[in-house]
Amino acid sequence: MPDPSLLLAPLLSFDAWLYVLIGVGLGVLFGSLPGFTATMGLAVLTPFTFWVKADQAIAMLLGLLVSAIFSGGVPAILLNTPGTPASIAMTWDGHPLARQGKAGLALGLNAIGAFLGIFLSLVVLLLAALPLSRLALRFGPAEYFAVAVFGLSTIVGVSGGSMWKGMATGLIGLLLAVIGLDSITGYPRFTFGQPELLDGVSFIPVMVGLFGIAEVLTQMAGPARQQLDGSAQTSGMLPTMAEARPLWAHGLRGSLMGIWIGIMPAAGADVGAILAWDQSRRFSKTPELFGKGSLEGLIAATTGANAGIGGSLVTTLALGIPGDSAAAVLIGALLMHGLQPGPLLFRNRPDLVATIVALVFMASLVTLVWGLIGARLLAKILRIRDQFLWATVLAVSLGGSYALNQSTGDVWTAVAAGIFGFALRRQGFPMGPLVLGLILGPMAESNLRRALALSEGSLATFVTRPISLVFLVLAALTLLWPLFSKSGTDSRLPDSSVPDADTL
Amino acid sequence: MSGSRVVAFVMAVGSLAIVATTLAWPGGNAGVPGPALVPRLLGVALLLVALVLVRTPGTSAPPMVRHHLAVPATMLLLAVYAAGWRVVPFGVLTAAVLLTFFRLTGTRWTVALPTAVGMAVTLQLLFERGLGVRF
Repeated sequence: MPDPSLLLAPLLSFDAWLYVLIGVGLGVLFGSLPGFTATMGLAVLTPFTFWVKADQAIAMLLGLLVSAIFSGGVPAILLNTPGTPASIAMTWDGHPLARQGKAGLALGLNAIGAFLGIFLSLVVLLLAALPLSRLALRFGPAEYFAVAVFGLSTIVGVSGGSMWKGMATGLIGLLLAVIGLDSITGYPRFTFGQPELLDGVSFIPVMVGLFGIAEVLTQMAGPARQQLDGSAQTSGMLPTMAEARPLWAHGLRGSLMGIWIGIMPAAGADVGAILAWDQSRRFSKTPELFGKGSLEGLIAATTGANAGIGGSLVTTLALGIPGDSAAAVLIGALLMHGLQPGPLLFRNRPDLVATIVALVFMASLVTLVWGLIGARLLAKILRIRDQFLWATVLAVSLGGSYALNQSTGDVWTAVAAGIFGFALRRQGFPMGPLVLGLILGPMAESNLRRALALSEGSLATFVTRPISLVFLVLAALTLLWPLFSKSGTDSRLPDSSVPDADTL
Repeated sequence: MSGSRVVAFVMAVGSLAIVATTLAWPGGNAGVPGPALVPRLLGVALLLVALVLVRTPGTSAPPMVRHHLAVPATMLLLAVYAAGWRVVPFGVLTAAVLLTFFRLTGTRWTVALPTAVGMAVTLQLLFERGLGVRF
């Protein structure tokens, strides 16, 4: 576990609180509006964090992530439309509660459940730090390659039901990653004589295009979102003692489920929330109320969704494997600041790991307070007209892409990625695998070649080293999993209007 | 032919071009792969996946329920925006693009004009004064 003083430092820093507050504010905006996801918020914000220190950037980005996942529950409860896929399960009991005149209570439970889930997931993250840092000492090129392959195998999981389409976009991401000078020999690949391409494709403008511009174009082509009718009351947010007593067990169970699902790469907060809700129903004394306004169901879904954040950070920080699109963008942001998530992070930068834990805690605390006192404002955000939001995202996305390197080439990259992403998404091609390939591609290739150079070309090096073998077996199991798992959705789960499951 | 099959066909052609391009690159020596190996393998893999997708019955894209003209027009507008960068002053260009976008998406002149100008001024201040970006 990191030195407690390292955990305390951000808590005593005015700067840290300020940047967390900014991130939380932006996260509230992106999470509350259906279609405007945490991933989109992270992608749009990332270029702007270039001008601040790494820890300040992380504070903003984590604040945004935490509050966006929480805020996604607000339209889920008030409009029956999840703000993010992570809040799908919150519609099932949250909206019936709102229709029963208990919107305030539902919003309050959403805030409390978010805090509880994140807090417990951070405890797990702290406990996981020490064993992971010890494991990191044994990592060589073969292990890094195996970890990258394992990460790439999760493309199956982030493909949103179309494995082949996910593999295609994943391969495109890997191919984009090889553009530029070869990191080992310096040989130019797919540069077509253009000096701008020697450094490779700029990751941030690609992300901004895929998750910012493409998302706006997709929303423009889709149906208008439902508007709030103003009838929802937002008072009486705290449950009574009698109401709260049976909820603790469901909150705890939901948190544990969310943490476990979050740790597993490619299973995001949406899966965690749905499984937490389902498990809670199985253990409930009143399962017949689930889907009709059960407080137990709502707290299980909320804790399940939010606990996934800490769980996901375990794999993201320890292995450098992004479990979902939001984590992939977060890794991109860390790389931009010269921080390489992965096994060595826990050994070389325990201060950073402690800072991240503290910042997530601070963000969850701010989100809790904001969730309990700012519910009325949250409801008003839902009344902002789409056109203004689209225009803001487009202008800020392109401006941010340019500002990073002050290069018009990056503006063109963002525009091209946006149009490309829109065209592919219209045909059901998920974008998550593309980002995964773009991030993990260089790690996989360089370590494959280094490992082969060290073993004088022998592939046996990947299966004779235990850690490498374990990750390769895990990768094989992940790829083969769809053959053994049941297809389709659980017909017992309530229906919901589900936004694009590609992004968080 | 469904849209996803068209996309898969384009991917197949593209992957062939990738494989062909890598044939001229150094292949490596003594069992250690050179710069050509990984892109070539990826090109072959993409070709195989694209062929599977071409043979898979595709579903048509969801219908565009609104902004039928505004979506392609916005794409064009974004290209114009990128082309005009550093040619037209940033504030003027941004205001003009935003105004056009608002009008494309059905916003009234009386709302669109002040909003576009206000947003352009805010963005210029944010980038130039706040972040020190030069356009």
